[in-house]
Amino acid sequence: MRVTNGMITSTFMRNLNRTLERLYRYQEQIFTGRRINRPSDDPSGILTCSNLQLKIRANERFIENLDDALGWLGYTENSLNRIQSVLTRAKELAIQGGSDALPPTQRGALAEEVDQLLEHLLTLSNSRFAGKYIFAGTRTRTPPYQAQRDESGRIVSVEGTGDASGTIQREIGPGVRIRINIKGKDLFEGAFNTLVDLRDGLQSGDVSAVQDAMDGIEETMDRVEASLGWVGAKVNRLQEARDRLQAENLDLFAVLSSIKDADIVEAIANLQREQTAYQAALAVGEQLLKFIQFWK
Amino acid sequence: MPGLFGILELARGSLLAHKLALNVTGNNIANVETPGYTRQRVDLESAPPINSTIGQLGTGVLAVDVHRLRDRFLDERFWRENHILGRWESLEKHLNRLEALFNEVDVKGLGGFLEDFWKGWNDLANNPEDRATRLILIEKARALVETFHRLDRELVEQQRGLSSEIAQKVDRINTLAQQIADLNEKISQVEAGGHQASVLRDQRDLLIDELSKIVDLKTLEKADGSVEVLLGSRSLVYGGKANPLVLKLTSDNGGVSKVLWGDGRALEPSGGELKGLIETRDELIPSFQQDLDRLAKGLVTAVNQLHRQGYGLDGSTGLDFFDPDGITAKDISLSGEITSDPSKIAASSDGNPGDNANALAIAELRDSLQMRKGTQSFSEFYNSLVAAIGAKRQEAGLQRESAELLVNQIENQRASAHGVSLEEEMVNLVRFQQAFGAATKVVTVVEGMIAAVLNMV
Repeated sequence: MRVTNGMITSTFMRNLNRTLERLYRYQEQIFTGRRINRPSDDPSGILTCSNLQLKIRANERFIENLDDALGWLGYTENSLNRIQSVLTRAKELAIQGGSDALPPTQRGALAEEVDQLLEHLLTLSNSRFAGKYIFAGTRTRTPPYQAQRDESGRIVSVEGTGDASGTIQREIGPGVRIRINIKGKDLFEGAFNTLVDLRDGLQSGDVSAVQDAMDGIEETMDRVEASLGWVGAKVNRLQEARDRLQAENLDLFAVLSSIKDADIVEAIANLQREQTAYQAALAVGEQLLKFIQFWK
Repeated sequence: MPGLFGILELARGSLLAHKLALNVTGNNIANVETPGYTRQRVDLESAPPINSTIGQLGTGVLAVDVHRLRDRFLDERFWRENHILGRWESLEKHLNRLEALFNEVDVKGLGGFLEDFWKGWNDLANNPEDRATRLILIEKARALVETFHRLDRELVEQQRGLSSEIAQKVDRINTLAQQIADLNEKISQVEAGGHQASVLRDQRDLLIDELSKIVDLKTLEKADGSVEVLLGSRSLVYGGKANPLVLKLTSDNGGVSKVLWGDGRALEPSGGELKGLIETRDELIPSFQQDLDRLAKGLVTAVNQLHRQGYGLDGSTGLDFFDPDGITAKDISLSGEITSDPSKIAASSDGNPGDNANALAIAELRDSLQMRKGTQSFSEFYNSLVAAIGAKRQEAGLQRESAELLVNQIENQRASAHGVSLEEEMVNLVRFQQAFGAATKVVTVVEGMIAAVLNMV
């Protein structure tokens, strides 16, 4: 082939440019740590990556929702335990007060304590988690229970302010919703009146009223126990779901990284190879130019 | 029978011919870096002999022709392939910009803001009573809406930029066509005298080189040395006449300009930079715009439909979250009622403030298969749009590379055939110099001989 001077310089420049372009690519990979820096680097790879990222972010959101649900349920469990202690104490007092042998003055003291328990139960029924009434159904901004008091300030009766039956849910998987609230209606049905009856029975020495109240207390305690069981089971289930989502995200991150990230060792090896090629090309170019210079 | 003066005459011819050859060699060397220059050669022939008693006697050398060493076939191959490179180069350049617009590897784009928007609804579902959460949701929705607007604006701006680039290219085509036509006329005038118009032909070839990258063209060389340039089946240049193209604004094409012939017929280039530009402006960008519009419409419709069924904190119901009239990427916007009073965001299904069923339903739209006939979620739809742009950009890059390889190869072949080789010219320089020197020697010798003859007198 006839080789002309123009060919030598233009071919040299083209090759040098191509080497530089590859150098740039590997350098970019090393700097960003990514194999894919723009969609055209690997269009099907970027599609897989962005859909994986969607999945990862959705899981992160479900984990957040689970944390929120676990917080709510933990607080509910705590409140239920305290309600149970109130009821346990009330039951003890009813047993003591149900005995005919007890002098009336002591009964009066018991009645006083039951009154305290009643106040306590009212406070617990209006428990708030992060500002929301947890036993109010979906009327989370209104205290679900309200007391009627006599002129001395004693509770005469406690009424529900609404039906307190709405369901509060959290999304813990794609389209999977779970209920996190216990409806106050299920829990406190008749509980307040039982305690009012107990207090008044103790006060007036009406032993049969005290004994009747004890049945009511036990019934409520059964309901609280059932709710505690429900909460416990739910907490376990949610914790498992949370662990599973976290494990899944670890796997997804690994897959994502294997598609998206550069193999740094390989990239550095490639970079060095291109550097060598570039330096060799420059050295050859120098010789070539000297050679052409010679004629001129 | 020639006398001594005849020999002097012969030597003079030789001096002249080799001086001419040296001139051409010098010119070749001078033009070693000139773009489009074709090396030239002098044809030397022995001069017509005279008859003598001992047979025919030579009368020296004649320089009969100077012409360029050009391979027409290589030129035509180059012009045939160059428009392919032109088209992919311009597609790659513009797809690069489009890709950057949708690249979310480093920065948050529409995909990220869409995710944020769903997260806003999710957070509202966890805190339906909270005012701050509602304000955050509105900010997230605003960011999403503004990203739609920004993308739409950038696409429109790019289209506008393409229109002005098309106008420049059409201008350039017309200028080149006129210059080629002018050269055609000069070349046929010069060549009517029997000698090749080398320099003019070099200039014309260089112009066709440039033109062949802008549009796909065919050339026909005529007997008078002129070249007819055809775009499709119509001639852009015929002899000394150019048929300029015109730009016309058309309303049926979204107000963009179309390229027409002088008589109003449309030019449909099938290659070259012009094709790449028109393709990007009239096919690629509109298809991306259409996808964005679809996404905006799907989003507005689905969110509004659920939103209207829910209740705000103030008991309001039946309200839209997005303005129901804004169903394009350009027009999508939030409903004024919602932005002025975030408590009207309908998170509740039963009207109670703690109920989050409606917010949950809207948050769940994230995974709901609402796009492409119920096969893709909103985000998946957007992700496949981004991947499609990446695939187009990748294809353009690969096609450009292979076209470049081919064009470079032909370019090399042309440089090999047409280019000046300094080594060759140096050898010629020595050859012609020696021939010239030898001829002067002949003159000296003959001069001595004449002097000797004169001394005899």
